[in-house]
Amino acid sequence: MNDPVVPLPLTRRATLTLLGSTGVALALGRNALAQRAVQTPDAPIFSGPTALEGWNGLGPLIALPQKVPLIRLVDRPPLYETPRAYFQSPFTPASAFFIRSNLALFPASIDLTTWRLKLGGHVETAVDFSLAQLLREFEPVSVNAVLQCTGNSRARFQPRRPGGQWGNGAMGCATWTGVRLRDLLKKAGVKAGGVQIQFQGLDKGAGAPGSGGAEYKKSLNLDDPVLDRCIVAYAMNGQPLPLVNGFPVRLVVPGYFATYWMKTLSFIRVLTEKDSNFWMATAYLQPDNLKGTTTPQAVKEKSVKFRPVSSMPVRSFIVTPDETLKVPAGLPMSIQGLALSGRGAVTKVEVSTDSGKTWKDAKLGEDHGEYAFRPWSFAWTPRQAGTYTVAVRATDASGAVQTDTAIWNPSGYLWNTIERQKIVVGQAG
Amino acid sequence: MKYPVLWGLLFPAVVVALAIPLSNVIIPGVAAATPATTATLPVTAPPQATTAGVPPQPASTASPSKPAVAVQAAPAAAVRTTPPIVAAAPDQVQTVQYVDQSRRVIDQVTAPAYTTDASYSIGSLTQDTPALVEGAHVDLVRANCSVCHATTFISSQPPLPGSLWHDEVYKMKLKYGATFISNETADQIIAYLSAHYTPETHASGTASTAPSAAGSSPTTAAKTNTVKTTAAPATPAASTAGVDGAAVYTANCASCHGVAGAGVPGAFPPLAGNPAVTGDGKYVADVLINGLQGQIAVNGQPYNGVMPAWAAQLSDAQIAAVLTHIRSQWGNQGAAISADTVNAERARPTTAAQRLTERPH
Repeated sequence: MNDPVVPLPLTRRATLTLLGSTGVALALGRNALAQRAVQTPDAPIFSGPTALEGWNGLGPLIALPQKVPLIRLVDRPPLYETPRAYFQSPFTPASAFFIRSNLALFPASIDLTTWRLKLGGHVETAVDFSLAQLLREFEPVSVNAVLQCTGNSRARFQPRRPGGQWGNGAMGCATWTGVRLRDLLKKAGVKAGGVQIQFQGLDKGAGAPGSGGAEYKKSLNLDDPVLDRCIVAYAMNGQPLPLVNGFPVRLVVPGYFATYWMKTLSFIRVLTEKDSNFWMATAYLQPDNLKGTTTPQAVKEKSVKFRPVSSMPVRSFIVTPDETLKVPAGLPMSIQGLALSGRGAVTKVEVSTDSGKTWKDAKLGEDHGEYAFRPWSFAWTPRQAGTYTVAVRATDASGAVQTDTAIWNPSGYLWNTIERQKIVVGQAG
Repeated sequence: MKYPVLWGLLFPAVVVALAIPLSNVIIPGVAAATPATTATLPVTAPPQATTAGVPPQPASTASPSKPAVAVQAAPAAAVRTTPPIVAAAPDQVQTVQYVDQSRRVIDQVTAPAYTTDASYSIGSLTQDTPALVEGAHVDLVRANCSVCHATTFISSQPPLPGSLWHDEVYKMKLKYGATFISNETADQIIAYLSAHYTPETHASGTASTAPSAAGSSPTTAAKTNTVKTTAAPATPAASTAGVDGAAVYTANCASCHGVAGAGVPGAFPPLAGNPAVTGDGKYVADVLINGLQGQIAVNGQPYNGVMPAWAAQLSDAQIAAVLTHIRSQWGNQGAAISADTVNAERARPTTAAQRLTERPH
């Protein structure tokens, strides 16, 4: 075996192809034929009690209608995570976009002859729009924006918290095209005295009427500047939305967590008092500080003040290489990934190859807009064999920079701690 | 070409996305300057204020025949002018069906046969619920937790302290509207979770490496006849002798359908005065064995929930006894059902769709 070039597998495959199916049986020989039917155990679907180490959460790859196989965390309601490889692009294919529904019973079918987006509540005139009207009567606009689950990376929490045990794949970036929320509100005419705008889709749950398990509703303050950039999107990446991602329209709230991006948006209501429904008053709350962090002790002592989650803190991710790649010393390589922030454009990404002791600037890729993924790359030639711990941190226009301090809150939200990954470098000869 | 490796992976959608000019990106403050991305002429007539509240005529020129699965406009309920608004979403929505399937046949879903009218549908969603660890009260966990979510929500959690499981179960009961879980049942569920899903008790891989047949979720179990041999209770008895139908009811059914069989309006159908309960004995046995999910109506009231399958938890004799019980209580007058009938239904595979269409009205 001194010959450095041993193209054995290729040769064998080529042979098998030539031999055809009969040849396959012959070539596989006795060992293969003698193999017994063995039921292999399922792969683990949970991690813990320590933090999840891998990039993605754990689960089988399963496809739902209009989707490619995604990592199944929970089957009903659907929680499906996007595999790491899809983040090699700053835009995520609609078919690979993660899925998260809070309630299990959402429409399997939309009849656009009867479906209407209804605006009402504290308005001059209650109005409703068919999809055809949304397409015809309003100026279409587009925004590139990241949609990220509030609980993305929840499995990194320590101590662990219950909920969807996401790795990093509960996010994606798309070009969303639709109608300005402001344009719709203008048609209805918001009356003076409005406080919040409530959004609701068509999903329902089996919980008792009036409970959080029955309906899903989210509200934004009427004086929140985010309303100026909200759109009611009927397309993502130039195609209709998959039904599990919100067909026919979903709310797009650039910079904010996904909890507000109502799927199958059908009701918009102007409220004259603060929304007190479960999903605003009890769920999706973060400690009342920018990072949304506190301690288990403070929660126990009930000394923590909470507020509804809103914008996404700055984050960055290593996408390639993954842990399965061993790198020969001296090989010039490129470490690549994405960064995001809902609080101002990503202005800087830094990479460390010594686990955060020293940092160097990464090269920022194309700017697709303030709310989109910002690709980055870092040229690195490891000189010595060994195990390196690579880390990445991003800074946004607000001046916020990622740190090593672990985020903790009771619901497992707003994780943005620095990501790390081991890269093994071997001798080149 | 910063991402050369990607072109093989990418979908045309992304290429389309990348092709959309950056000039169309909304930037706060300059959003008004954003040009239209499509050539559609603006329709000058705004929605008529005078007809507000009345659903406009269908804009589509598609087939006039309205599909039965229409999402109904919820007229007055949807938009009120007096806040706060807590109007419900329409009840007539046909919701997704979750269908048990094993892996390897589900990574390539087939497209439904589309029509060119205004109805946009998807097929069923795959449900592939892994086994829970066997143990005391696991049947209660399956029956109660499965009403709102797959038990995968339990088995995918990290090992959690018993106190946290306690909080989670009571959150379901008090916040998520799982009002059908009695305090006693809640405590039994917590006892089960504490016995099997804490850092001390949850050995890595315990649940997921269990043989798939043993302790299958009720819905999965119902699909295969092999479950008969692995079901926890004793082999189905040939008669109902010695089984107290009322006791089976109290232990397994009353949490949802109520001690008086009245159900919970809008959430859990009543059994009292329910024609499907007192009608064909084979049908109601089928529902108990295999479960029921989807849109149904009982005496005009719509329901759209999930009833778990009981094949794995109840023997033929228990099912027969509880059926005989509910068919003769609360004014119901249905004939007794034998364990043999139940046994025959067990052997007759039916689909979820069948159980909806065969349902007496």
